[in-house]
Amino acid sequence: MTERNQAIADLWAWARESSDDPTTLDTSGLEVQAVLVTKDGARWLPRLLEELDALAVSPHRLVAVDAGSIDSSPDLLARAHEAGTLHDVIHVDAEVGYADAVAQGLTPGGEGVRSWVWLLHDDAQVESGALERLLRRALAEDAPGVVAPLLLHAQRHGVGQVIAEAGQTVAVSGVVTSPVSPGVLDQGQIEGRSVLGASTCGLLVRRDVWDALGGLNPDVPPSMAGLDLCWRARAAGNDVVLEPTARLRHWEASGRGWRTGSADDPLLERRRWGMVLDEAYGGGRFSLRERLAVLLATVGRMLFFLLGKDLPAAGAEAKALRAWNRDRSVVSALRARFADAREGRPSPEVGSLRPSRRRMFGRVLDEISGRFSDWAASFGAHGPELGLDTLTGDDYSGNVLEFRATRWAPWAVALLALVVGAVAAARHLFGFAPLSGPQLLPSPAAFGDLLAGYVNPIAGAGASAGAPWQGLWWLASLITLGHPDVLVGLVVLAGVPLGFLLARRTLLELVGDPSIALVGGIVWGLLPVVVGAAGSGQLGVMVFALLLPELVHSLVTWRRVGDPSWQRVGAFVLAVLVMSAFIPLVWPLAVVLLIAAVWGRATPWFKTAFAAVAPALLYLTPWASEVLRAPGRLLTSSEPLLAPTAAPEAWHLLLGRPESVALPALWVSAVVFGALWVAAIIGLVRRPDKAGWGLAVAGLGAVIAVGLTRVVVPVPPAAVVRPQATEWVLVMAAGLLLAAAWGLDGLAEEMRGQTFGGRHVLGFGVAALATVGVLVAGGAWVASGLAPLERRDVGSIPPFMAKDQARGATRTFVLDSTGERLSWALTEGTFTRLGDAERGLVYSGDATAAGVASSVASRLASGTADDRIAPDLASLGVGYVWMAGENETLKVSTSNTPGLGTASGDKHGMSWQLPTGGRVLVVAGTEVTRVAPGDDLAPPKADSKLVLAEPADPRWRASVGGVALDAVASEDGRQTFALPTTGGRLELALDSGTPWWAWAQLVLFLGLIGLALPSVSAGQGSGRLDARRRGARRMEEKR
Amino acid sequence: MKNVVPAAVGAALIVGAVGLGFAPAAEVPAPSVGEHRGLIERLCPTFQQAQMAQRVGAVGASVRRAPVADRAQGQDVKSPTVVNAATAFERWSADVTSPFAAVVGATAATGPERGLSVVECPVPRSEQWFGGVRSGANATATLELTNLDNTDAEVNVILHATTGVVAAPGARGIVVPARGTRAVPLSPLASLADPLGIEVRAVSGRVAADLRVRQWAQTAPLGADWVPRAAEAAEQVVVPGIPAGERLLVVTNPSDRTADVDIELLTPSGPIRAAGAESVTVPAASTRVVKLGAGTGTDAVSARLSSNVPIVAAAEVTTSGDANTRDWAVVGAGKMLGVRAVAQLPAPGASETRIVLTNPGDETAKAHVTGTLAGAKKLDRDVEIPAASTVVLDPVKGADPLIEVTSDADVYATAVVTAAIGPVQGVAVLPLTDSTVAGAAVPITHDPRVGG
Repeated sequence: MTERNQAIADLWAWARESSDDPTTLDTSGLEVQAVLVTKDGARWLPRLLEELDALAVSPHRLVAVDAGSIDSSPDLLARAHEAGTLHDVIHVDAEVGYADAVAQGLTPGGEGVRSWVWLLHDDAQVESGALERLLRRALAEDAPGVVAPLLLHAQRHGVGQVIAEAGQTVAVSGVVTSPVSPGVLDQGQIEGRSVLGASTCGLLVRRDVWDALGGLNPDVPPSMAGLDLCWRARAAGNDVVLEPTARLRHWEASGRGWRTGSADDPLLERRRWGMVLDEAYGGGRFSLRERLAVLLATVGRMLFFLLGKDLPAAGAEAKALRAWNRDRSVVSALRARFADAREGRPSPEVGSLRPSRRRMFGRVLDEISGRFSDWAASFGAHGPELGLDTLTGDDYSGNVLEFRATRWAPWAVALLALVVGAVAAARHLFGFAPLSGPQLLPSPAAFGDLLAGYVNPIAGAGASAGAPWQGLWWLASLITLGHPDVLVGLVVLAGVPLGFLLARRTLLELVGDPSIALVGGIVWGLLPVVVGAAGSGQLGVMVFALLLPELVHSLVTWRRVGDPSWQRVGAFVLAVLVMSAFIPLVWPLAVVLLIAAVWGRATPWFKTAFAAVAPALLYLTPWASEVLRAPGRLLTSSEPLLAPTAAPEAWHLLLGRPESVALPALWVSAVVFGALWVAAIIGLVRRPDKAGWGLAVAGLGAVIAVGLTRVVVPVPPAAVVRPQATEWVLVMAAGLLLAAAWGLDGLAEEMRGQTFGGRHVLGFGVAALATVGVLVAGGAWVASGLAPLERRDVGSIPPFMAKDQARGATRTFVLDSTGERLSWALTEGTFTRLGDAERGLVYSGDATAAGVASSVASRLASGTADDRIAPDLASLGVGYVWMAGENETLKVSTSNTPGLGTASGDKHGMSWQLPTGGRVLVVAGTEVTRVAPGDDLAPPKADSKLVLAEPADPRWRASVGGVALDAVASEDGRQTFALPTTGGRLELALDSGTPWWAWAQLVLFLGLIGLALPSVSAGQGSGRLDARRRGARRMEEKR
Repeated sequence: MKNVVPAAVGAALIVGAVGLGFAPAAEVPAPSVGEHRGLIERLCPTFQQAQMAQRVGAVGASVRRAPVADRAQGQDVKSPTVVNAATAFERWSADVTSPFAAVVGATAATGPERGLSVVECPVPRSEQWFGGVRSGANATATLELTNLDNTDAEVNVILHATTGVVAAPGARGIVVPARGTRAVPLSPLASLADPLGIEVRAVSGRVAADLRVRQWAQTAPLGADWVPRAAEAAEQVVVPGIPAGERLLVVTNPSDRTADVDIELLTPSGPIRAAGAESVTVPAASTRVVKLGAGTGTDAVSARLSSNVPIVAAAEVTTSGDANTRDWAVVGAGKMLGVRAVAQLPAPGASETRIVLTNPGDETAKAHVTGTLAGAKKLDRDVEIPAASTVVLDPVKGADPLIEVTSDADVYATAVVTAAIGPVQGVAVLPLTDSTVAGAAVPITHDPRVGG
């Protein structure tokens, strides 16, 4: 290791160089008996014995007590004894516990503050000044009864020292922990302080205290004996302090199960005895409330470990709880011993020495955020560059020269540019109104509406529900605190920088040249804009574009490692599942890719099978039966009813121009995709073997895109659409990008050090091509302002109409002649919202009603004003007609439509009422009365009927005054009920039973998320590396 | 040896994709509207008169004829067709999306209905204009208002005479019953020497109005004809296809300001100004008559009127000859052709039908004209119409020609029919406009975000 590397290996060594007291420790009259208990510790003993021999201040008597070691420990001890390191060696049976072993090692000692017992473990390493520093603290004026050293992780070397324990304490839930979070680097920052307890390793106990307490309690396991002793010492009126300058490294051999005869489950033991000690020493018998609190805390920890996939820890929690519940006699015995120690004193006040619930919760959050930052760091710098992590950390704050030699990372510059570009492109899209576009319906106003749209059945459509992505979007909206529109904005508006980050990360796995990964990432980020997905609001395609790199990344890693972790498997399944929820065809293709990835690798079959089958979870919904009836939905993206109906030319698709209203100018597509094609072909010529795979992917995407746009397919509930294939154009582009990346990888390296030649021409040509492509695409992106995406308030019709519509009394037929286009819509409830296109848009997707509505729109627009318009509108449940815009001719002709009421309006538009129209009508002969669910109905006339302008469905339930109504046959297909002559409150519902499937999906999906989440561990000392340590490690790797 | 199989597969797939692109793409079917398809209904103002022959020519999809009183009593009619007219008003209907035209043709050699009459069966509207309407000592005019809908309509009739709006008690608030007709004789309302301009405005509902005028020389009948509907008031008005004869231009100014009207005649040789008829000033709410005298030629011409306020115009033409042989007709200010006009003319056997195309614009316009007799195309021409000119095509000679005119330019088209009806040299003019009646099928798209 070079000098420089050594310096980096332990960057905080200077901080630990404590400023020793220049005065010599007065050892006169000092009596320290050290007892080293050994048991099969030959692995660590030689070094420990050397260190003990080199102590600055040695104990006056150092005795080793060997508890029946069967390894070479006895020999090592004997040699040390002969060498004078040990004053004596005592052998006891293997069954003798730690407490008894220590007791046998001690000889009667002196009285007063200058007589001490020093406990040592055979798996410890002792700094030369450790004992001296402990003694200096012990002899201080406050005269503590116990002094504990700072324990460091012994197994961590080279990158700073990580604190294992800075004393011990017990949380109110009975969890034994250290006052300092696990994983913290020892930077000399820990101050000496009072602690509740400490490990027996290196523990210095005043002899009179030791004797008064009767030493260690043999009933308490060794790992908890120190805490027990310290707590009792406190009860006896002594202080227990931590001396952080006295350092021991501890291998924690028993706790890790490395020692023969160690506890079966150290974790269980620690947890169980934490609860026992808490109850015994915490102050009085536990009340029911306290017991319940312990129970809840334990269950919470079990869930946490289950989510973190640490099943042994979760099991240990459960077992510990059970054991604690049974340990009544142990608790009583301890309590008696504690009372003896107190000798009538009140219980010591230890509240300030125990962590609060809030602090423990903070630690959990810290753990989670640490895992997240570990994951986020994978998007960061992969070279000697200045990235976000290094910028925000202070690992190298003392290493200024290192910083000066570092340049801004190109990826960070690119990310910054793309973020600025995203802000500029969305300049017209900042606001609070929901985001909407030609293929993006505004998000529901209420969080629950999205879920309702997913689980509620569709009238007249058999077993039915919303599309799976609606449910996922609802769940994902929890990330944005229940605001689905914020999530939509994040995906659509920030799609370019996010796509860049994800694609670059994947490309770094695939190519060696980070420049190619950088440019490729930028291109991929911009592609959804170039193909018109962002501007038109194709949410499914945007999600697809973001997750495709993640999917490829998972597959690449899977192929590399062969047997991936369950977390990796979960991440793959999650990516496929989310993408398939929007675009079902992803699933079979992902399975094919998975099979290709595991081909020839030793992947356990059950992992592959699980990954292939798990996305079926999506189809655990009545929607699946709808898809069976109209399987065309398997070939489309989300909300296919919003897709354009025209078929694009094949060459348009090859130029990245699927049918979309948000496409850039033709020359922009030609330049961007032209550059992609040329770069791919150059790559192919250079490295046909590898780049050929990219071309194959591009060809597959092209065939699917062209093929799908030639056909029309049935989709639920009852429509025929043309697949838009934007996502497959992106797959084609991804293939071209891969062909270019693989083909051109290494070109820069080859150019280096060579005289100017053909390679340089090729290299510079490709660079120029990429630059032009990126600049044109980026310019078009920013210039477009993501038009025609817009933010606009929902509900432009007059309030009285909106009110009737919202309470379910009417629908509104809207004509809009604003601008050059003439459009229509049939609105109901809280207007058409995200996901409603999967539910049929008009009249629950009823084909006949859709035809009638379309016909009415056409006739109104043509000014036929025929007298069947009003009955047709009435059949659709329309109570009002609203016309926005300046088309006076249309207003006049509509005004003359027989059956429409007198027009009224203002500068925004004109409205007509349809007196006989409504979603819910009471019909008595020729008399028609509009009502709404929740209305109190007056007693109707005899033979009255309740007519719903809804598709007939046997699941409709209606009641008046609590009396269920009988459905009767209807001539016009509308749901009709016979009304009783008694009045009352009208209740109306489409009853499809409890959506158990949604709950099942939720549970399984949460399980999948848990699988994909980074694992957590309750193992001792296995806490996360904090950001500083990570940075140091990475720097070391770079060297 | 490098593995080029993936590259070959990729190339083959891309070629396949290109090839697949040549496959015809299936069309997304339009929503099925079933019985709720839109119908266009026209009123054909046929009536019983012993000395007169009346026929109806119709073309369209799913054409059907029915009594005014009961739509259900109708019967399907093949298309195109020319059939004998019923003895009472009929409603004719066809699919709203199809080009639909229905034309009534009437001939009478003698009697008060003498002469050749052709009129387009009108579509119910809320506002209709008639220009060049005579109602006086030698002319009787009857306005017939028909309500094809199921709810009553209320109509105001406003008469614009040379002296201004005629105070006509009973002309307002005329209730036209559902599925019924109300005849409004104009004589009691106005008896004037000069022609009138008439506005029919529905206060509620809509009506199809037709207006038939019978002229007399004392007691001798001079013939009868329907007055076609004129285009709505506008500042730029074209009266297309005025046949040769004694031509009177009738200009009505419904506004409350004086209209200064500039008159140009668009002839086959270009625009001209008729001596003494270069312009006319029309007081507010009044009508003026301008005689288009000498120099207007023997070919059909069109009049282009430019005004500072919206005006309504029509032309009355009387053929040459003595009282026994001459016929007269009224040509209303026209609407532009649109995209495609189709008309099945119920013209008598010895008739000649001339298509007159007028281009009021500044650039040459193109049109395509076909004339078919009994399934045989007798006329099939691409026509260039010079700017500000009128083109009169060679006549299609024979009975019941099916005329179709298409153009993507702003042109006007009329069919001028002439025929000898006994001693009478009959003349009739039919404006040819887009046959979807209510205007070209207006493209309207479903946008679920509208209103939301």
